[in-house]
Amino acid sequence: MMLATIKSRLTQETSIAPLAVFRMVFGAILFVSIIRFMLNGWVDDLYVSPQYYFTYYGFEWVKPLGQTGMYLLFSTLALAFLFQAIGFMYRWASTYAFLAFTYVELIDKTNYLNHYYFVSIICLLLVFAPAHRYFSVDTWRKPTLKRTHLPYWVIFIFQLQLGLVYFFAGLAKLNYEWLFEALPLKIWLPAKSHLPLIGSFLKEEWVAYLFSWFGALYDLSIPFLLIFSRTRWFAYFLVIVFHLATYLLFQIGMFPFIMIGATLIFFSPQFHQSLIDRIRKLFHLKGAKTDRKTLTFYPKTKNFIAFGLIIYFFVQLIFPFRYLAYPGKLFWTEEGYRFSWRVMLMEKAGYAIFHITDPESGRSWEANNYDFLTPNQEKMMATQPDMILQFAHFLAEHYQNEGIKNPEVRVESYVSLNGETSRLFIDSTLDLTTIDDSFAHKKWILPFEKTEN
Amino acid sequence: MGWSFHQFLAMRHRKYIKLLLTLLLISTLWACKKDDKKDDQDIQFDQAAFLSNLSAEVILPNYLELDNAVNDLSESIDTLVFRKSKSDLDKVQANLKTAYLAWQKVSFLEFGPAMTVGLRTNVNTYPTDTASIESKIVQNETQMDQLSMSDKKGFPALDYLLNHSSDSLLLAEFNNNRSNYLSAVVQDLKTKVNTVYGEWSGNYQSSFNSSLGTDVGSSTGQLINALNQHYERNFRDGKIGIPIGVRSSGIPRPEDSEALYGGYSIELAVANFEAMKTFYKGKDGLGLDDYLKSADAADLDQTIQNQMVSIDSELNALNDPLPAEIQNNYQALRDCYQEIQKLIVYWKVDMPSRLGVLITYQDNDGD
Repeated sequence: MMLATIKSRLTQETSIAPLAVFRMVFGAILFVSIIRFMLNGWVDDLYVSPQYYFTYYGFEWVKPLGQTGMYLLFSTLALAFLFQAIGFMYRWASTYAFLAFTYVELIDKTNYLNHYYFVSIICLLLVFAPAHRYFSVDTWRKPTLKRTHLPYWVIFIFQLQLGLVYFFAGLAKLNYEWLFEALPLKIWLPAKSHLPLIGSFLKEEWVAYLFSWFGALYDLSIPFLLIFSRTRWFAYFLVIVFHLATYLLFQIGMFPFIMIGATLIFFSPQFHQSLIDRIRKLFHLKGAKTDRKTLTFYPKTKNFIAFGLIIYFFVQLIFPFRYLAYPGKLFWTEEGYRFSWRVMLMEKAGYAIFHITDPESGRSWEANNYDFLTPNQEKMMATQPDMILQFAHFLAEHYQNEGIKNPEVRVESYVSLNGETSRLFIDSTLDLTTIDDSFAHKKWILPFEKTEN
Repeated sequence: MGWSFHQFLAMRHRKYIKLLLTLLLISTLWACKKDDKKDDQDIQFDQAAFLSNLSAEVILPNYLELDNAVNDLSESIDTLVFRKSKSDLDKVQANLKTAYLAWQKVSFLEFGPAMTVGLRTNVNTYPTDTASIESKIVQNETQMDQLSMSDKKGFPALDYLLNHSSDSLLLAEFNNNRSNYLSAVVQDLKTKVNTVYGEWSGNYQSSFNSSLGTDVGSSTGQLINALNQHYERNFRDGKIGIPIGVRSSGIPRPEDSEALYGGYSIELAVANFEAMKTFYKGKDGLGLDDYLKSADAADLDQTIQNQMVSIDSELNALNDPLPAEIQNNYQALRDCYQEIQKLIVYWKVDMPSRLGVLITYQDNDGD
């Protein structure tokens, strides 16, 4: 009964306008983001000047393309997002945007951010979505492409994906430190107490608690508040307040704007249609008289898409829970931490000293991390076991090239989590060259024990 | 929308809002209650006063001291190249040491004007390239401005030119070209130091004092990052680590000691550490120690102060000149290095974590 209701709702015809607006907003924001990224000089900082890159497991073949190559990649990527926004050669542009963006993100896990992952998967969904079949350059050039309606599920998959992002981000906040110790906000907020107006409040401990609880409740409830029309405007007001607050308080880049733009997809077809009409008016575009024409799928395509989507969302649902397969404290080991919408959850810092021993001469010395890594790479590496291991292997190779046959590499690393006193992170007696990375539990991460003080 | 699932949500929805508001209220009340318990702990930290204290009581006086010392050095060198007497040389050597010691009090402030000028690279790149210096002297080349000149000038070059041989031999070799080169080096040093001091005593101080917060560009962020970067690379490695071979596969490199020819490397290291300690404590006013205490991290401050005592005792047990110490007292140097290293973890990991300072030398997005 319920299932039938859901099915009928999902296949119900609805206006294509929300999808067209989503395409324009997403493409435009990403276009600006990529330009901003280039203007900030981050292409050089992140993808040209480092000597070493922390590749993802199984993606060791992904390499930066040199200065010219990277700038070419970023410029074409910006162009692809622009094309996506205006719906020009949409499929090509979207496919390129997905591949190029994801390629860049795979180069170095130092730069992993949840919002980059979000952008990647939205790009993937957009590759298959018929977002260019209304109010686009493509339909202007080839009017037969034009559709005014489509089954609701095409829009719903974007709503669902957004809902999952928020909901998982909320679930991740349901932990003792976040709720009952107001960590890490208790550390982060007082550091902003110089801000005008709100500054003096940020020093107060209760404000950290309020923000923590509000953040958790916001994340958990916002998908539902957005989907329901009577609370939608209130919800969208919260979306704006929440994301602008994070933008003002934290160094979070374009993410707030991406979310403020993307959540528009929850609004009604009428809302989006009037947006499109306004854009038409603004640019004096003539709105060709439209007959209602609904997008239909061949049964085979439909099955293929349904199958693909079920697999996709199944993975999306399961993946954030993979941490349960690992023992130990997730924030400490970070096994199963990435790709799970854990956003701004902890204050973590570390320092890693690599001790090299040449068993032949008996000499031992320390590697000079900053000779090989950028400050940012060094910082990210110091708190993430898989990166420590990768770097240890890199060092072994480096010293082998220097003529040391079997260098042993040990790490003395100290990590502080949520303001706790720093402590030894990795078994410092272990020669890391004897360890290969895998998805199995890393037994050489020392257990985290909380100190009371 | 006339859809039953929506209506189903609608009914639940009112309850949901109520629940949300109730929870917010409870959490607020509960948090307030908890706040009452910790009353005297919550000292409000005045970041503006902290920055003003550091700039007025530590940074500016230190730059002024260096500026004066470099001016004195420059004057005495003018006299030396003119008269070439033994007493003039003695005076120049003494002035060089005074200035080199004064430099130790600002070397960890490589941000703002010092960063713009590239002060550290310009005045203290060592080991100095003696062969190139000699060939420049032969060719009477005194251009100091190119980047490639950084290891042919500054304190290390002066140390070489004024200390590399016995006084009588030094005086004997002072021909015109050598005098020209010496004057050019000290002139360059003077210009660079004057510029940085001028900026600080001019507009920069007030912009430093008013750049609050802990972001990458903020004064607190900059000074903690600069302190850490210097401590790690220039103090631990430059003064001890590299000479004892920690960075060269365990093979010592005594020839990479600071003030190699003057033979007072350890004295410089002690002065540098002393200055960083004073900076940390904000001299007699608000310093990083008070900042930590106000952030409920008095324990960390205590740990840091204890570690400083350990480092002091290790450093004070060492004797100049460093190359001889490497030969005769190697283990003491390694022990000292280990104690120095421990403080990095407290300064670079624990301190920023407690204060919410972003440790990074480059701007980037986070999430």
